[in-house]
Amino acid sequence: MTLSVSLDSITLTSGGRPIRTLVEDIRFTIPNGTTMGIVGESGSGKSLTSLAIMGLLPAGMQARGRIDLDGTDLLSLPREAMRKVRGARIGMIFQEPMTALNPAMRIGDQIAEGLLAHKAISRAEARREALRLLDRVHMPNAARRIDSYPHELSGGQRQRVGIAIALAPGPSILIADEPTTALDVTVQAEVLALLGELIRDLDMSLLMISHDLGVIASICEKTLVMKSGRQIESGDTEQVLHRPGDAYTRRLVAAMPHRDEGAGRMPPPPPPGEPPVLEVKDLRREYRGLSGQVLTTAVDGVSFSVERGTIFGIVGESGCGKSTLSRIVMGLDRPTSGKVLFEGVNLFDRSPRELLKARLGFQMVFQDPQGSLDPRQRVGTIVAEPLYLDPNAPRGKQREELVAEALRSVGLSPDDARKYPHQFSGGQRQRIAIARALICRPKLVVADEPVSALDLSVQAQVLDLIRELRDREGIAFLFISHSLAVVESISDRVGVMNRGRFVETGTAREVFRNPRDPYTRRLIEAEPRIDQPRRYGVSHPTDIAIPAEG
Amino acid sequence: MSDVSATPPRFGTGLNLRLTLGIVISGLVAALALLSLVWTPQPPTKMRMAMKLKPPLESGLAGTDAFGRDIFSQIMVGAWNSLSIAVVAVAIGVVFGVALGATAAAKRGFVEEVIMRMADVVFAFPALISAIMIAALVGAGAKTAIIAIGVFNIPVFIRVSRGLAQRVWANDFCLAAQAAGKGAFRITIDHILPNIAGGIAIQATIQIGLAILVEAGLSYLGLSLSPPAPSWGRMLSDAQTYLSQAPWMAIAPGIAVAVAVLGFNLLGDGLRDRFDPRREGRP
Amino acid sequence: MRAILLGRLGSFLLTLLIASLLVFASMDLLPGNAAAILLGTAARPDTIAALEQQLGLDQPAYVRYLTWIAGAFTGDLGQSASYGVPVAGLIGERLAVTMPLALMALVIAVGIGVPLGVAAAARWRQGPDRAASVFAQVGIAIPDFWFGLLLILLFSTTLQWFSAGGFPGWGDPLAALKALLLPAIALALPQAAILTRVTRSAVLDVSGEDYIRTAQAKGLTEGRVLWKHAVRNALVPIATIIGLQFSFLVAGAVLVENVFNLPGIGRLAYQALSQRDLVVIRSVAMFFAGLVILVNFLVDLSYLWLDPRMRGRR
Repeated sequence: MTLSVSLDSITLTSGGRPIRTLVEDIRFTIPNGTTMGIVGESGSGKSLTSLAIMGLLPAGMQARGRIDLDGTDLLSLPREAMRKVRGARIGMIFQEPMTALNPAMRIGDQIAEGLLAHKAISRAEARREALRLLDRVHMPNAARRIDSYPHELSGGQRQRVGIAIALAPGPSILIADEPTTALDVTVQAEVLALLGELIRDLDMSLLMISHDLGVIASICEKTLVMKSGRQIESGDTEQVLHRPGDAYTRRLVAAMPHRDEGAGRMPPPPPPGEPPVLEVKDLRREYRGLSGQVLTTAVDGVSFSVERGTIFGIVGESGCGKSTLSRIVMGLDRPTSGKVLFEGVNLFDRSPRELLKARLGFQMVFQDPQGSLDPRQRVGTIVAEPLYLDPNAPRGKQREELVAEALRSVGLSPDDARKYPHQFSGGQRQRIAIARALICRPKLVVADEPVSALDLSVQAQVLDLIRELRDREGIAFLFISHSLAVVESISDRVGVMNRGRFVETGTAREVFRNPRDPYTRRLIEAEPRIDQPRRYGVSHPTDIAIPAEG
Repeated sequence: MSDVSATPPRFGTGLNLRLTLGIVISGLVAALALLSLVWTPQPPTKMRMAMKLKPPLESGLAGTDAFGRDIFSQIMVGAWNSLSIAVVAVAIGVVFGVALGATAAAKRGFVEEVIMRMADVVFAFPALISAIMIAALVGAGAKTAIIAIGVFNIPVFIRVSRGLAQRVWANDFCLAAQAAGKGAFRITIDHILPNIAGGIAIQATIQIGLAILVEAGLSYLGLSLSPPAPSWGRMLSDAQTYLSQAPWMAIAPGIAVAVAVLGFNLLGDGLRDRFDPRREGRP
Repeated sequence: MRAILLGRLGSFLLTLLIASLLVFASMDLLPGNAAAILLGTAARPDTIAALEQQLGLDQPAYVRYLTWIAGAFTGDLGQSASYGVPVAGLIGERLAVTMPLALMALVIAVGIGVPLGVAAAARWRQGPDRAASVFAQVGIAIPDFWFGLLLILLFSTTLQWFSAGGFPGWGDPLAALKALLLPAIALALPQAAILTRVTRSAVLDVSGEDYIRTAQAKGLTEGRVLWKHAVRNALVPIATIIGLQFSFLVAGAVLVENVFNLPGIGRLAYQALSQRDLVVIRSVAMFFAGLVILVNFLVDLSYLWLDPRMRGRR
């Protein structure tokens, strides 16, 4: 089976007339049994391309060109004929396992449904086949799980179901649109391994869409780079990522957080006698039920310290307790036991009033640039909000000056104070959020996943800004993220968190180059990197050129 | 990071039709209502027995009733009566409902439970039933109608404002405000209320339409304004006796109600189409 | 799961209790003297006292309340002052008209509103959708009692197919149903319009969810995607609205019964009102409120069946 895509355009139409071109001139071929990745940032049109292949473009969009599947032009097929192709010859899995399954239908039925739509078999047979597929995707306890509802499964398990659904009718090519983006790193590795195993054993082709170069590198033989609806570059993955021809590709690869960056710098020794900016001792946060029994322990005895002018990174998967930890450190939540010392003084010993005053010294930056700014307020008001804490804070002209200074220090203009958040891009909004954190001249900024929602190139800029603020202003950062690469590239010291405790702490170089804890090692092993050879779906390891160890 | 949603994209023209129609129709109704304060074709309560039961266009735009009163003039004054009762009642609902709903969303826990429970209970009493209860005690009248409708609107706005407020609270900027030292009350004033104001306004517009509808029902049963003050519902009740003789008596006031309610509903829907980003592309 | 069910049941009972307290407080405690109200201002003090004793008004408040509540179980809700017969009996015989009426209206409303709404969502922005939207918009604005009047005007006065009102009793079921038909249609119209709108919007909302895309990617037929996936998951908001709208249905029944002169509970309420018969009004108001609370409770229970996520983890 060969898929040959020759898309002239995908346009947005209104009343039949095209009003905007979203995608233009995309051409590639996927021969039988090969894996191909389309990589690009948001708005690049990569998802639209895959939807066009499936014939699932939203109403109002039109694709022109030729999409040839073994001699048939899919774009010219009538609706009913395309429906028969969909699922039966091309399968697709999507990004959000949480929402990609019908919450009101058992998963076994959802798998069987796809089978029954394309093959004339009995329901009992379809159910047996569904069970077989669940086993194939390594679903634990398949015989029991087949009658579960999606909400009873974890994210990784749901994605396995999604894969089983796509595989059921036996397609020869699988399209995967950001299938692992919403998953934890270790789960991601498992799902990628599963995909690799399946396409190898079933001799299928794979079209993988992702913004993550590491993921593409780990499973795709060929890569196509897209930007703003156009094809920038394509070829062998190894060549595109390591010897890119186009400037944009080069920038994209350069924007990936690299191993060498942060790990090279040794943190300056702390001045003697001075207490660390932040010290956490035996912090514990339990959630109790109505009758007093412990339901969960989100933070289970965490201790660490952050020196002035350094960045302490906390890395962990979802549910490890890092967000709870950050909230306690910020004084937004009380711990069950333990101490949080800010410049030597216990945060929770103080009266609420004193606590507020102490807050001037540390601020917080959040993940979602969309949700962290009030859309109804002007940027100036937003940035000045922390001044509410300080009764001595200047008003009027002087306040405006402070706001202007804060904006300037994050690379924005003082004129921006008059605008509203929706007038800015995601990266700029994150800068505004940082400006808001800076206005009180804090000694410490707690940053909870500050770059996770940003595109790669923008992410690099914000990380640079954070480094600059550390070097120039001596601000300490508590940087929390699920991405190892990011944490490694920016932190001076690192804590690896799992199930409420730190399994390992040390300098970034120590932790990432010579991990001692098995969990840390598993995490590092699981993260796909572009400087490693392709490892999933590899049938003949000797055929793959192994680049020099990075 | 999937940059495509399966929802149909938004187009310019079709959606604004509702808003335009809504503004025009409700504007017309409001204008007629205001006009009636200074002028009507005939004095609405003046009985002219010689002109009784005349069909439309033979005497006046909508004909005359059993007492020779001009129906169109009555409709105009009725518009003012209906609209003012509706607006006052909904205002009561908004003021108390939003205050309680926002409090429920801010305080959560026990306070929220109590407020929502009370809202559930009051919700079980449609305005008509409360009006009957109130009228049995203190008699009918505009006050009865306003209280009955107003009280019913309170849980409506409690629910709406709590729902909207909860969604705003889920945003990180509320957390940021907390980190800035602001308490729940301050955050409600600074952040929650401005962000739910639009949704509340839209709901209020629709509730006004509904209130007009309910008031018509109340005055049909004689629970609202007493004669001789003209009210649409009572005009319909009077018309029932003369249904075969003078069918226009039953048609005109009903059309008035329907048009007024339609106007405000369209206005509310049109505003929602225009301003609620979640409904983009979905009229 | 059992815990959830018990919780809902407790919640339902609590709401009923508070509602009954509310009715009792407003009817029996606040207004002063019910007997005086009944007899009017010119009544002599001893006549008032005698009536008070007859109505049991000389007892302390909580006794009166408990008597009333207990009476709901034993079937004794007091004596109607204006009719002179037991209230429970009155309500009982009127129920035979109101319940079938409400049920008919509900069935008609759901039977028209939901399919229309689904069709509108399926043919988004095309002919059927626009027609359905117009129907919905206009239908919501039309008062049900006026629509009833129009129906009488058309079908009774003009065409003479139906009588102008009244109820012949259940002795002849066919005639009884015929008498209820026009009122049920009048009652159902605004509800059908609202259901059309809500169904359409719920189905459209659900159509934007990811699992619809998954279903399409499987190559399922449009019909199956629409019904098994979209509508199935839209049932929760639809059920919610049915529950919420029920109180409006109840109010509408009061009005429609008066338009068509049907001897139902709605008409009883109105008649009792004109007689200032507080004893009857008290129980009628509680009946209606209780009905609304019950329906909402049933809707709440239906969520457990409709949305597996509500059942908690196994």
